[in-house]
Amino acid sequence: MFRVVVRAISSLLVSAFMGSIVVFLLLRMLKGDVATVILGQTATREALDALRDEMGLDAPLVQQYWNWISGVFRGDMGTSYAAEFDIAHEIWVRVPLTFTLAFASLILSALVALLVGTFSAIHAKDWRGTWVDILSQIGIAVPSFWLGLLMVTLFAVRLGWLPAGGYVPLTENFIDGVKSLTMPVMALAIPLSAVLVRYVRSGMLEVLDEDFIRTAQAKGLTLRRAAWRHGIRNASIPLVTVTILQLGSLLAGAVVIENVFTLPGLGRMLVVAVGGREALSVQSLTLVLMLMILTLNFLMDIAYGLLDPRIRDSGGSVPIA
Amino acid sequence: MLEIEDLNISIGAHQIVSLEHLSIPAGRRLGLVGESGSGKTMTAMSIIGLLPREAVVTGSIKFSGVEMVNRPERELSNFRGSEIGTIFQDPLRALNPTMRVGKQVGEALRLHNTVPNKGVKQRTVELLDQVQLPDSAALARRYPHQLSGGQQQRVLIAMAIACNPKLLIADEPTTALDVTVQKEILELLARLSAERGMAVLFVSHDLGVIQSISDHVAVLYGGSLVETGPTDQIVGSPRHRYTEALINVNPGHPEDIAASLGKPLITIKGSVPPLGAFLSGCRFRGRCPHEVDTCATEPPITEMPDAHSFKCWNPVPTTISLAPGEAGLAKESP
Repeated sequence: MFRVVVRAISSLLVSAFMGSIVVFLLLRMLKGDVATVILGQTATREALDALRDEMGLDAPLVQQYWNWISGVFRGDMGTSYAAEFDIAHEIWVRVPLTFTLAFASLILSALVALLVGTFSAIHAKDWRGTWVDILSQIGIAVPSFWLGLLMVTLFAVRLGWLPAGGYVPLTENFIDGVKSLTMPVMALAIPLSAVLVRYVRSGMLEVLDEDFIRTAQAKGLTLRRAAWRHGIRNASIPLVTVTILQLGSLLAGAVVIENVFTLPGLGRMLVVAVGGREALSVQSLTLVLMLMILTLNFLMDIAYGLLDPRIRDSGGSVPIA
Repeated sequence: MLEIEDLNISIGAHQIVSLEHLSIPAGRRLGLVGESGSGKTMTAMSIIGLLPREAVVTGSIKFSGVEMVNRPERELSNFRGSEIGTIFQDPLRALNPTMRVGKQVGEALRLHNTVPNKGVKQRTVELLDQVQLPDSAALARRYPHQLSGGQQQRVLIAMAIACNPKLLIADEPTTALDVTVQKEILELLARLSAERGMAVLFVSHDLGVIQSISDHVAVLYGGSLVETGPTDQIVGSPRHRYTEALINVNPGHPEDIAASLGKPLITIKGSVPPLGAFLSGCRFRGRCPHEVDTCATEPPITEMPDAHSFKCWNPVPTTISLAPGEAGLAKESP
């Protein structure tokens, strides 16, 4: 397991470094330069020059990158051009919300997918399997922001069970915090679990054909019990792989959902920053969102090792099954 | 103890197994031999109802007087693992890769309440000792891929005998193993069977392996039982032409290798026809070098002393006096 962790950490560090370069360069590749992006096409030459000077945009790229990334390590990402707030601080207070939202949705949808997918694999040949198929098809087709709005109408406006928006930190008031996150998490988790269910189902159907399931039956387990006891853990290994592939769209979904539910997370900050042409904020926000994906990816790598003793013994190399 | 009568297994329009009669008395070791596709695994798996979903089974399989054919899964699972143990061909694939082997053995004990829950761990270690696994307490905490092939098969045997079954079904248990390991596993199975008075149904394509473990042999061809009897008689004086051919293709025991070098390997011409492509009458027709005209009609079962019986129109001649009418046919054979 030690080797698995070391491998996951080194892959995390390398990816983070490469990613930060990509984020940095992408903003430099925009038409015009960062100063034009911030001030717009109509800005005067003097204003542009002043801003370039202020932001150090005349320095070589390597120097600029170093200035930025060393600042990130010191917790200094500069200040917002228009609103004059400290970017690093603003990001820092928003990270817990977005991470909680993404992480909770991820875990919830993986669990739901495992349960429902296994159920539908066992009943693949009768009407129950067909129903799961239909429901997951619908789940995949429904966009999460629309689902969010529907839930607001039902649970907040009609029934008044849950707040329509806003956020109470879990550390402040746990119950209210959970209430404020319930709908956003559901809106993200339902479409995601609908996607994952299909993978679990086909993975489980393969597992059910494995010899060890037959051994379990020969031991005296019914097929259903053999699937739950011996199938789930084996079927969740490919699920981890698929989940990793979904991390990007999960974070993208979180950005949208935060806006639907007016949650003060990174997603809202990103939308405001993009609207206000805050190049510096966007650059650092993208970096942080990327780090968040990499962290979740790291946790998934660890999950491989926990789930499969063969991966543990091979030091973390995942067999391509 | 096990009585099979008129067993028919079919998938779709194809009949895969058609057995008139086969029985295993308590404590007997019966070898079921045949080429791949002969239906031997299907026959064995039908006893515990572990056939593909599409398979349709008719006839009767009585285990200790209880009818097993078309019994609901829930009731069958009370027999599986407790009264009837099973081991499979590929031991690595037959074990759950993500569960410690001790737990997999212990699961059988827990399921059938063989020992109180507190005693499961200790009993597991005892079972691993009985299948001669070294350092069994530590081995119980390992995962299947950390064991050798022979050790994995021993774990499966421990699992199968955990609840003292009356019958052990061994489906090609040594096929995936090295020759040296094969011998050890066969000896272990023979010893366990003798010690516990446990009947064994040993399924294999290898007559040599069957010969070394079973006291009786049943030869399957094309899903049909062509010859059955005591091992020494079947091997020493086979009557059915297919059995004869099977014995001839066997290159012999390792000690005979020197003698067999340089001699051409004998094969049975052709291969087992695909499902549904069998000719009428004797199923070995078309591959049999001793075919006569009558072979186009279903051959009768000829009973001989010592429960030796076969199904052939033109059997291998023998010095033993035969049932009337049969001797004439025997003379015609080349």
